[in-house]
Amino acid sequence: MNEEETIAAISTPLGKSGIGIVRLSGPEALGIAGKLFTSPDDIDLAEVESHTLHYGYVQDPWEEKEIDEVLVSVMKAPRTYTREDVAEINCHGGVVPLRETLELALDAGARPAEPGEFTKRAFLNGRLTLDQAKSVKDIIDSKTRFSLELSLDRLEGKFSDFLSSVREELTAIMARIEMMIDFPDYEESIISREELEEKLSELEGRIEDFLAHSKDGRILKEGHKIAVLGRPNVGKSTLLNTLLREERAIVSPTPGTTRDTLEEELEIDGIPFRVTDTAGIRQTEGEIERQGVRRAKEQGRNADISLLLVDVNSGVTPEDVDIAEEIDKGKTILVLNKIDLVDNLSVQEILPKMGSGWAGVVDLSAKEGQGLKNLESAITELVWGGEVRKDESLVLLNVQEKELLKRAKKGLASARDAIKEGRSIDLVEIDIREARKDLGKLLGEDLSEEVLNRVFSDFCVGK
Amino acid sequence: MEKASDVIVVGAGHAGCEAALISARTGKETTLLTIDLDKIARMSCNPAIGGPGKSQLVREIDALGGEMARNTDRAALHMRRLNTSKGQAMQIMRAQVDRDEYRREMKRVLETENNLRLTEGMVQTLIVESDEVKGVKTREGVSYYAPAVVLATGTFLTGRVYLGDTSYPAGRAGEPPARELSTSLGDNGMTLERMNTDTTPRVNGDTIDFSSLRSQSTTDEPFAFSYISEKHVLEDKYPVFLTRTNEETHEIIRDNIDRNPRYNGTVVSAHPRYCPSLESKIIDFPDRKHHKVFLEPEGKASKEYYLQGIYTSSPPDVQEGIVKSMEGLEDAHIERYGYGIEYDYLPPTQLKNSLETLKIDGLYAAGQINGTTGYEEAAGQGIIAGINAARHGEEQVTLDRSQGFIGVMIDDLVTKGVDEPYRMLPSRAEYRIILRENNADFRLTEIARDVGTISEERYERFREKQRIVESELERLRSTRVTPGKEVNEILKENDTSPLEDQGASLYEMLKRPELSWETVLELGSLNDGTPPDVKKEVEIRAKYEGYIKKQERRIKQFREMEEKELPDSLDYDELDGLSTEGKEKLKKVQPRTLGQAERIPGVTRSDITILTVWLKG
Repeated sequence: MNEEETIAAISTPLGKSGIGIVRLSGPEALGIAGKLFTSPDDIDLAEVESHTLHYGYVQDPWEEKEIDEVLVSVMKAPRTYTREDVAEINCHGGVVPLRETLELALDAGARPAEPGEFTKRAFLNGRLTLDQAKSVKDIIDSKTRFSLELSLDRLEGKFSDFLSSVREELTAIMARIEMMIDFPDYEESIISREELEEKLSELEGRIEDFLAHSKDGRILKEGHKIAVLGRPNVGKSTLLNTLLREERAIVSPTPGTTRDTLEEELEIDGIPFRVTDTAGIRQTEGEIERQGVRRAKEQGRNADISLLLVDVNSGVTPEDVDIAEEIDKGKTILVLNKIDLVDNLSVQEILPKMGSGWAGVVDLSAKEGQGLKNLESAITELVWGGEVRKDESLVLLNVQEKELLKRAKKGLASARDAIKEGRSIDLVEIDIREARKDLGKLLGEDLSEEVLNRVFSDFCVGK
Repeated sequence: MEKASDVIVVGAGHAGCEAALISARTGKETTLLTIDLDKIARMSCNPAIGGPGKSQLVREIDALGGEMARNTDRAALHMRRLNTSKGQAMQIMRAQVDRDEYRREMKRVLETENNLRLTEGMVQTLIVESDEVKGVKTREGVSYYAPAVVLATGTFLTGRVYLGDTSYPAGRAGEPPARELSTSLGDNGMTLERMNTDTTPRVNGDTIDFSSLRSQSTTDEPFAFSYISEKHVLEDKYPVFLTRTNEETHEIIRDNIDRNPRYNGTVVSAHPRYCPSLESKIIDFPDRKHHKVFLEPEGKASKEYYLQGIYTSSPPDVQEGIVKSMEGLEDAHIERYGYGIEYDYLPPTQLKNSLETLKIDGLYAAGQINGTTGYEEAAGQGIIAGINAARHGEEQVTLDRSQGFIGVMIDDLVTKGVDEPYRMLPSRAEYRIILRENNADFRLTEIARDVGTISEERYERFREKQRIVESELERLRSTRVTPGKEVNEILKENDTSPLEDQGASLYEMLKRPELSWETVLELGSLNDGTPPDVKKEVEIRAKYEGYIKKQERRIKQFREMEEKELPDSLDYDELDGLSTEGKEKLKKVQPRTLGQAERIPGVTRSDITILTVWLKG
């Protein structure tokens, strides 16, 4: 435990609510939150008054990508739960933006909080009385028990198989290095730098693959994300309802009926999807057209698949064209809606105006359900033909696990750098040791004795 | 008869000698009792000091004011630097030592030390009153009184030698064991367990055919173990030779395995894995066709060679077969047979970090009695036990895992206990880039000075070295190299990238792994009159800077937990919510700090949280 470190965690239970808080605590809490946060009036979170609330976006500082629309509460020490500086980022975009926000916070220098660590800090900083603190134990007990169950659950699964096998190989590598350090008289242990580099690179690749698959895993478990895009009143909510075959989204001729983005689960041919209806986001009076385009762009970027709706009855407007230009057509199906109101000819007139490069083009009537099957098969085709495919070996990782895996990978990379720089083997080993420790944390084990055991069982050593 | 002193040390092996000397050096009247004055500081196993992990221990013992390094320098026959192909920070020393000279020299040092009374006598009873040690009684009928007693009895407690079908009570081959002391310890509530280890046969060098054997010479680099010994090059008269076992050797062992006491069920106690008997090597690693055997000279006045690698307790006729099956040893004459020894030890979780027992006030233990193996391990504990016995009643001196290999060893012993003889290995030290063999003086001299175990002159010498290191670092940092044809030519020759526009400091250049000290000075046209020790320290600090910083950060985190002290009076039974196993272990080990508690196997994270909460309340 290092109380100088800033910790971060999702502090609300992950569920379907779609609303959640990423909490940061520690000396850098406001600085780190500030790195992720952008607001229309360029607020500097470190400068604002304590106990205030601020509206803006969480943005990926590297890719300048907006993750979610958020409210950030700033609470400065000591009048906070932990008696440290605290920032709470209220996300509402669902589980994925929450996770991404947390990941960004970790990238920006925070460390994942241990179970119960906020409470622990609150106690250590004198915020809680002894009586209150007694409940700390219960909290930590229940949380560790929960994560223990989780990890036990995984012990039978692919995640732990993967971790164990990578860790096993690192153990074997370390045993050989330790062997060289502990018993320099025994040449048998020698592992050449080339062999070492090759092995490390292979393991790095495996972790990389795994991380890539874990992202897929997220999509599969939570469903591919479909965004329904289009200017107001092209029939987005109607399409959503038809897809869901029930009246869940509120259909209204007046835009801006609900506060939050609507997110619905849906299954097509056994593949889970989550559909976001951007129509739900309020467009305040006087919001200029450009902002609607930007919103569509963001929604499209966050989605795995987009559906861009065009009203063939009212024809192509400049806004439709603007939107079409701003989004990734490669993963967007152009949906020509309201064909029940026009003849075939007008449909054909519309296509050239919208440009080419679409992942698919479907004409339908959302209201009548006509052509819906075509849309469904266009969507599934995109899934089967695209990068995202159904794979039994996918796993769901939480942010802390992902972070540890990333760190392990980084450790192996810096070990390889050390080899390339001609560093001596004992230094190379320091990085490998750290990487292995990170993997060990995922399995809840420590290592030193284990490496020694391995040395003694793999090598015949004398004094 | 009754005699009184400040400190009593029982046993004059490697732990006992260091304990007694260091205690006397702090000014305390110290009595050193041993069964046989002619057998002090004996090397019962191989005639060598140093090696991986051990070398670091010896240098730490030296920095703390101990004798082992200096005595090795006096008695060395052959010295080598190991790991030279690896990083500077990993390089270590090993010396073959004249066994007899080592003993004689140590005896002389003990006898000439002020405040130290070397005395022959076999301790039979501890005098303990209401859990406080008062002294010891010897077989000779003398009672020695002191408020602090260090037990450094090695393998002598109820020792028993095994050789094939034969076994007899002994502390070492041919020497009587100390039985009554075991009983006395048990009577006073201490727990004892059994352990065993094997030694090797020794052969007459005149009967060895060296002509076909590979040999290792002593190094031609001036050399010394102690920071204050004069460095010198040894005469290359005592090389170490190398032979190996073969299929015939292995067959002899397999055919006779049921005659080995460890394989026929006679001896069942824990045996070391890293100093394994030849029998274990053959049985556990059936695929190996050969095992290395080093032929180590025992001394100038002796023709004996120690067959390092042939640790065995098989019967004499089997040992004859084994030895004669190997190249160069076909006609070898065995002067002494190898044997196994089984002895009592005190499971070290009964100790504090100061090496005082938790149970009996003023009673300290050091060396093999604590379940370790090796002279260096013993001596390292001897230093700490000796210093603390001398300071009994005052603040005790302990080293943590970030301060030295000695700290790592003692923390391992008292926190985790042992299930086999404990040997120091570099891999046990997590901060080993910081705990280098070459910087033990930087780490420990201030402590030695505070405790009063080194002379003012030695301290000044160290300060001088410190000053030169700093000024060399400054010289390198302030000298800049500007890019130019000549400079970049040199860089190219050394396979490293050329300099960019602004140039760089020499310190930056020295950080590059490809560039040696000499090249860097050449780049800056600086003269090189730097002493080798300083050069090495400066080079390591530059080249390893990133790694050193990384470990320093870890150490900072480690220290935070180490600073959270748990009071001696803590009653774990009163703490609600501890896990059953955690409570059991905490009661047994009685950790000094929260950090130590965290390292106890069986103590859970939630136990630690409860302790944290309790500490704050």
